Amino acid sequence: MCRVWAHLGDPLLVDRPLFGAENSLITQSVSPSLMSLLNIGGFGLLAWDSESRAPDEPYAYRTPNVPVFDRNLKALAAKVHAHAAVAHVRGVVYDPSERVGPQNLHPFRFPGARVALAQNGDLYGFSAMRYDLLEHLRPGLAERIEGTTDTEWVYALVLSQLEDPFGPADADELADAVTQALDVLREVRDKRGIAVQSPVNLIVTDGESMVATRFAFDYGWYPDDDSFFAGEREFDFTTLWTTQSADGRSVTIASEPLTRDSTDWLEVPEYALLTFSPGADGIAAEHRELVL
Amino acid sequence: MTELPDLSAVDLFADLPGEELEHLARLMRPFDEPVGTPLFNEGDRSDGLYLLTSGALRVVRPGPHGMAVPLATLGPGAVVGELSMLGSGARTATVLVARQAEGWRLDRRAFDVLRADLRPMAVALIRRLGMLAAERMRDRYETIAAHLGVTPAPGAFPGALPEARSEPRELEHLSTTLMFSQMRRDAVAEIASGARRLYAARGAVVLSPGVPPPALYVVVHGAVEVSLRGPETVQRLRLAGPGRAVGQLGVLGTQPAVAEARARERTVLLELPWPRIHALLDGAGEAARAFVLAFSEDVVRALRYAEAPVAALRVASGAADAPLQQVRAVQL
Repeated sequence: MCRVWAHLGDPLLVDRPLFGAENSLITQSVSPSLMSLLNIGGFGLLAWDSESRAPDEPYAYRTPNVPVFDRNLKALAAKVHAHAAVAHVRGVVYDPSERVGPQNLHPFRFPGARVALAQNGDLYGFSAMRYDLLEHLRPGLAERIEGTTDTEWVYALVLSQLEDPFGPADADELADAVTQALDVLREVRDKRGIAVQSPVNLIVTDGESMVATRFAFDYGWYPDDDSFFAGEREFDFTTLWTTQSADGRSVTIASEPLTRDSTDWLEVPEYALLTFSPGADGIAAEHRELVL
Repeated sequence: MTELPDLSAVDLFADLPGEELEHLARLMRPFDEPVGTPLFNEGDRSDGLYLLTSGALRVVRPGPHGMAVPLATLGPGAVVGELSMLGSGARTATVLVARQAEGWRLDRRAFDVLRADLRPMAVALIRRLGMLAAERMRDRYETIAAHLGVTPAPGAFPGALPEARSEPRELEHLSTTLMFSQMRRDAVAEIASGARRLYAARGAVVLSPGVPPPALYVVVHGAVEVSLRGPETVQRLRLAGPGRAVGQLGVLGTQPAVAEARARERTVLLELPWPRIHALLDGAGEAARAFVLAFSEDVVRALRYAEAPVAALRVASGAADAPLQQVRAVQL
């Protein structure tokens, strides 16, 4: 499985969460605490800096290489100061059928779109349902899909639920779009008779608002093969944690707490949708039950 | 302290026969710590349980942003860190020496050796720890219910769940799940033998608050959510996926359930009636001893879930009042 980290709030040098923290994202990429697989499918980062030129456009860095050895990433992390960021380490199964390459790296953000998306999840049997999703995509979005991941399709599906797929969206709009996209996925899975556990932990943001899910379809119906969940039992529901700064001005979301002492962290309950909106007093956070 | 500790007066060890108590006492090592020393910190891996014979200990849980939340002050005779002898063994609180403390420590590794062999002494202690965890879980559920203002009253009576046919490779599957993965296949078969398989559709009520759990239900496939629902918020107490059980509080007697349990996914359950559970918990055979460990660890796991600082969720629109889904009679 993958590992994700996201930040929203006061500007932050991304070096610490990516490299410096005790259980930084890059540490998790080689030695995760809450799962057993190594992540070797690449790395991606989007970071919005309100002081930069064209602040709606994030810094973007993606590499199919293993991030722990990436000196360019390390050098960039020491410079990028972001009020919003999403980083993702891609996990892949050890199989020649996996396609590891630059087109399959999260976070996804189509050219011209404001909203980006990263996923820690895996839609089981996606190849059987991929083209059923076409009819649910807005015109012009399907042809922007370049890679082979389920996530890029989920991204296009979420964008398709927005009033303006290329514009900004507040947290409620993002939450509605994500919920509707999950509804479509359930409908298509039912149509194809796909009933195997499929986690869908999403992080969706336009750099101003953010939404995250900890969700799974058909949790507890393990696949009968060597896909992601074979052998994962203690952490069979893909994890997600969050923490908010003492002054309420910043939030962090991550697959695992970034610190060894997790007392400042809350585990996001299973089947939950989190919304984060900027406000005068900091980041307004809401945890909602996600019932489909 | 050169003599062995007198364990016969300690509640936790009350079930153990004399010769086993002496064996256990021989495994214990003295400790003597000055004021201010942490015996252990929240999040540490367990190094054992501590029996305090003199002095005082302060139990605190680190709160957000560096605050410490006091939980208890303990005096001579207290046992701390006992539940970390089971499961992953992570400490859930910090224990500090409040007054020069002396006592005995039962080393976790020494205990693990006994546990691996399912020695009668280890099994008896594990059974006691399981019951202790169940009592704490009930207290925890009641505390959360009071906090949310939820009165455990029957909201919806569980319907009779239809039976599901057992699958060809069910035993193999069960042996990979949390509760059964440490058991030999024949022990799993013995425990599951004769138990009914039930099917619960998404949303079907498995346990209703205010009604005593009629049996222990072990999830084979799918998931059951145990929760307390207020008008605006829902606090999940456990999400039981494969190899996890719901209804454990029934082991304490016929008290009504505090929380509701509903199938969160379509779910297949193994129904283990209480007489069967008690026979296993009191049994001496290999399957029974393995079950004592599996059941107790599951209760501790459930307690840990309920104790974890998990955020309450705003109830999804309409979810609190949504009619129950009809329980479908589906043959799997």
